[in-house]
Amino acid sequence: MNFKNPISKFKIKNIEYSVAIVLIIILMLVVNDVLRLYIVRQNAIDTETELNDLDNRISKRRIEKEKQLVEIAVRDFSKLAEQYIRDNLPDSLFSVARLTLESNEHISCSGIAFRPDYFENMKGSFIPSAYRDGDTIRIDVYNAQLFNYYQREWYQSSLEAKKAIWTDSYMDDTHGIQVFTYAFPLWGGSDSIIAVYYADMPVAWLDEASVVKTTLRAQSEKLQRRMWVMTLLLICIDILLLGFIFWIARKMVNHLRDSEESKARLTGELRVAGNIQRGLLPASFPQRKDIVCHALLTPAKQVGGDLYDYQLRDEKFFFCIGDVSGKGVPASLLMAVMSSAFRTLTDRDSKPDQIVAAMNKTVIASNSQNMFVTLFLGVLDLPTGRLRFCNAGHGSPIMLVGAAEDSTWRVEHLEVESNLPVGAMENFPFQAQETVLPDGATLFLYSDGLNEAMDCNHALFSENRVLDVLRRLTQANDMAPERLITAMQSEVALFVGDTEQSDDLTMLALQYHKPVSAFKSMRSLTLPCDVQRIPELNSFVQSVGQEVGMSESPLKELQLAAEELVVNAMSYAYPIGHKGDVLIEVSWNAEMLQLRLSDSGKPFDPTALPEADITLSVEERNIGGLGVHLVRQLTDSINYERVNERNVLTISKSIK
Amino acid sequence: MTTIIIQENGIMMAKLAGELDTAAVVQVEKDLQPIMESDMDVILDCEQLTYISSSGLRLFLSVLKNQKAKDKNVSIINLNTDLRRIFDMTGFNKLFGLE
Repeated sequence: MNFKNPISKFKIKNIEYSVAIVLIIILMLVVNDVLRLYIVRQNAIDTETELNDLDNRISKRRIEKEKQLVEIAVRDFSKLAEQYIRDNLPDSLFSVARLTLESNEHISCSGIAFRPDYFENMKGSFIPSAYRDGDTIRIDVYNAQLFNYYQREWYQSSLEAKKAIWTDSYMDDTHGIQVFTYAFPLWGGSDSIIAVYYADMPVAWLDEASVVKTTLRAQSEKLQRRMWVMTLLLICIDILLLGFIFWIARKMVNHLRDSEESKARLTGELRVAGNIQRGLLPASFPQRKDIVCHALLTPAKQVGGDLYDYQLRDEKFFFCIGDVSGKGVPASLLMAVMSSAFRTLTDRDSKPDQIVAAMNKTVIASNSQNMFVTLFLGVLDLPTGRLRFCNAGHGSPIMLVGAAEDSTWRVEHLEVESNLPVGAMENFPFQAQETVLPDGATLFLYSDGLNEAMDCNHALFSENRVLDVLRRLTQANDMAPERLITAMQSEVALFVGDTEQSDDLTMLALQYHKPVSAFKSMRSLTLPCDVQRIPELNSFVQSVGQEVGMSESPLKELQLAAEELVVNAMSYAYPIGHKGDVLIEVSWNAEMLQLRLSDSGKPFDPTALPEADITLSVEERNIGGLGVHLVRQLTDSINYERVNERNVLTISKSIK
Repeated sequence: MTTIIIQENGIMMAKLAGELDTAAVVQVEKDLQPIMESDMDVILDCEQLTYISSSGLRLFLSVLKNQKAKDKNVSIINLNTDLRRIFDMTGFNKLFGLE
């Protein structure tokens, strides 16, 4: 059987889904936080760039403006300077330098750098200039050695360009500040530059002046800080949220795993229960010529409420098929009770009605759930083919009878009393019925899981289909019990298709082959009911044994078996005061000897007596019950039948 | 079927000979009365015994129970193979300590 476990698969899927959802949420949060950080950072960079831009624009404009003012001052004073030069008043040029500084507070240093040896009375360089020293303006003539202005960029560029120029900002090493220098050439005559009039404008004040930028930057930085704090706060909240989700997810997964484990344990236990239940069924089919049997039980769930069972005892084949109301574990427990009752009861009873009544008593006593069992129980006497049966509310078996030679098979239901199911009513008088199975007859028993098997449209397999399948097989003369069951199984499987099996399905088929009696020779003895006549029996058995050619030990055993049975018959079949005879008939062939004992006393079946317990101690040991036990040990078979108001006991023993 | 009872050194010994079938049990039971009434250990010598039915076994069991009640022993000696098999089949080997 195939045990699937959809529950655990479903739970594993659930765990997978949960993990996936948690991972997705975590991923979303992480992406969210990373994005947020990126945006804040980008925002900061953008603001910085914008501020710088703004800064640059403001600075540029201011510089331009200031440069213009410087240019105006220098241009204006250049006229005065040229006048002084023409008038040959070099000393007055210091006042030009001073005036330049006075005219514009942003000029830090100014002067007029003459070409070398310009003035006849002054050798070398001459550069009258003024500079700021704190709040005062000082005038100075630079030492040309120290301040080699010929090499300066502003001087050279101005001379080369022959026009006024602005230098880029540079470090003025004389005053140690960053400056722009405006260099304005002074012309002596029309084509010669005689000096360069310069003015330095420091860069430093521009930075100090950038109040707007500073304010904006301060504001922006404040905003940035707030954004960072908020972002970090949000990330902290996210981390807490993540922790919480992790915690919840772990709890969820653990819970799922726990319930998964308990489901798995339950499934495991059910599987074990299923195995135990299959262990309750007969382990093998009988290997005999007179009875061929096959069965199949397919529970709808791991455990089921159907049962079949059989047992061979004293040349009798006991069999039953049953269906406990309900399904699953409760039904399986009652099935186990039935199975155990069947084996115990058939050990010491051969009457189907009595066995079923005893089962009824057992079930009623142990059944608080008002469950019941439909049951068919049969006892087939193998030497004669006599079938005694008792039906307790079960569907009637189908009998396949006929002669193989002329192919006229009858396939029909055995007529049965329905009685009541086992467990339905206390002390119900179950009726036994009797028929004789002809040689080659087959009985097909089944539970309603067969005829009520459903396809996907809820259509039933039906009684008619069961009969049809059996008829088809008998027409093909293909009716070995195993074949009947496998064919029926595949027909049902074909009919139901993929539809889930809704009920337990059980089939039991048995075929009877009447043994041919090959016993020829025969001797008989009639004894009156008197144990003192036993020595006559013993002499009779001894003489038959010698005629047959039995050796001493088996002959002694046969003698003992015969005596035990005859004494039993004399003691129990004929109550004290009743007279009657016991007839002993012995027949044999080359291998076997058969001893048949019959009397006309009251019905007495020694095979149904309780077995003697030979393991008890002296004190516990009952006197009695040993006889039948010994007979079973000493012979190959024992069989009891009540025929024509007579008790008939047959034993057989191998001659060799 | 004959039964001879010998009393020796405080022990009762019964020598059984013949076939102890159901019919014979009545007589043997009477023959064993002295043993049943005695207060001694008992030996049942089966050397000459060729057959025993379940009634014979029951008789042996009642001797055993009877003597056990008086805290005395019952031993069975010289069983032939066939009889020993019957004792084995019925668990009487254990009752009489024949293992």
